[in-house]
Amino acid sequence: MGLNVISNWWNVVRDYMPLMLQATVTVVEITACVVLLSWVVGLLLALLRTSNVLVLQWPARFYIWFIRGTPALVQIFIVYFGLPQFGVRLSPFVGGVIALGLNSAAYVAETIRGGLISIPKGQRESALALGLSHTTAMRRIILPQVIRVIIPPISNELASALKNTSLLSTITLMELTLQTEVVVATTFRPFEFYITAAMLYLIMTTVCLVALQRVENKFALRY
Amino acid sequence: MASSSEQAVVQPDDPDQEPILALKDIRKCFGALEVLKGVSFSLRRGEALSIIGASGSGKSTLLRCVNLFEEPSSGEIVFNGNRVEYGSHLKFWTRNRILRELRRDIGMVFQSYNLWPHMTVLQNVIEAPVRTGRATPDKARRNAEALLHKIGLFDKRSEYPSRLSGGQQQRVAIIRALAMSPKILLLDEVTSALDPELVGEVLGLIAQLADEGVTMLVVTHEIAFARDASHRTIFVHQGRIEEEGRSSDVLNRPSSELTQRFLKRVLHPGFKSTEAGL
Repeated sequence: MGLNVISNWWNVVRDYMPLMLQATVTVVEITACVVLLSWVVGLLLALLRTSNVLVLQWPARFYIWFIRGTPALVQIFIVYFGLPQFGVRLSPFVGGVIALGLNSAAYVAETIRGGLISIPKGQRESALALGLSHTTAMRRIILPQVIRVIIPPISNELASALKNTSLLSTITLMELTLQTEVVVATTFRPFEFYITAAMLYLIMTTVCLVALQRVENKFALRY
Repeated sequence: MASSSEQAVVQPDDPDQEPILALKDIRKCFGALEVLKGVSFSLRRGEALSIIGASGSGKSTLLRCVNLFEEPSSGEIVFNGNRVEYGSHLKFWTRNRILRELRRDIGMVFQSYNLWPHMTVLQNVIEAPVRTGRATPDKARRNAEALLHKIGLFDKRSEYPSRLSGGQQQRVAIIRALAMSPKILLLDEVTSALDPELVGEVLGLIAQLADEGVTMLVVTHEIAFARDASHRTIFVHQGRIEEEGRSSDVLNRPSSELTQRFLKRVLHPGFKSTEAGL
């Protein structure tokens, strides 16, 4: 009977699989761009947020507060539907990457900040005492240690970023969720296709988590 | 026990020699709390100077003023013949440059070792000389290996610090500072975090360095070490220098009553001691 279910499912889905897989690739592409943007902006925000200089600290605080306190969907609408009012017209892909990347950056920033404050003060002090610059101390002494502690929380954030790409279906980006909706509209088989989409998302998140788990193990072995 | 023999070997008592470091009327306030109330002293090349005092007396703050981890509220620091500029009136970049250059010449070792756990022992020692351009990677490595041989930890060069005992870590931290060839070495209670049986190896190394003529400023609770290994001792009490002189004099025949009481308390720590207030 189980075999029957699977072969029925495959008969329904088979013809649409290339479309579904293509949309899956789009999800990977968006996620890659979003993660890149969020790590760069997130690191910057975390450094500002932990700065002793209030003028630097407060914009970062405000930004993180705003992003974490508003829905990602609303942020996407602001970027994609709101900005054209000021002449800034972005494609669904670019707009989506910017909105999700800037959203994820706030969470990444908080994660990195947690990592930064978990490193004992003496680590930085001993670097400065030897005449290293603040930048060198950060780059060579502090951040390598931070990376190790933040891998578990950062992989959660990576999985969220990946799943959040489904929100971009609302701005006509043909990623996996919108593609599935379109297919369902022509086949009238929502169960089979949404299950298929769920499976594809699951494969992607699992690959990410396993990959980061490996990185984490590699770090843990060293010291 | 007196250290007259060591004082004969080194020439720090030569009064004509210009001091490598001079602090003049250093004051430091944290808010309303005045931790240092006008401290002056000088240090000659090759001299080992101990700073003792009760916790909270300001001795660690005093040490941290020397490499400007704490900026004095007022006072003058003369290092290697130059007046050290400090303070918030300096431009950001100028200030950072002055601090970096000063600290390359003033080594500091901490109570909690602060080795970098993600780097091997050898990498820890090489990092600063290479990054600051003091030495080529090759030269820095050879120098580091020689220093590791000296402290008997050459075999541990590829280990991460977590594999070393506290005493070994602290000795690595000391040569990490020495790898920059500093003109002064600041030691801030470097044995306080160690298990008692590991204190000896660290004090032994410091005494050896003092013998070899490394100029050092040692904040310590180890009275015997101060007496036997350092040329001069300063007793700090409530942010002021209460007594200063040859270690043998200050620690064997203190002239100040406060010094006497302090020494009595640390050398004979009775359980029922009621002599609080120091």
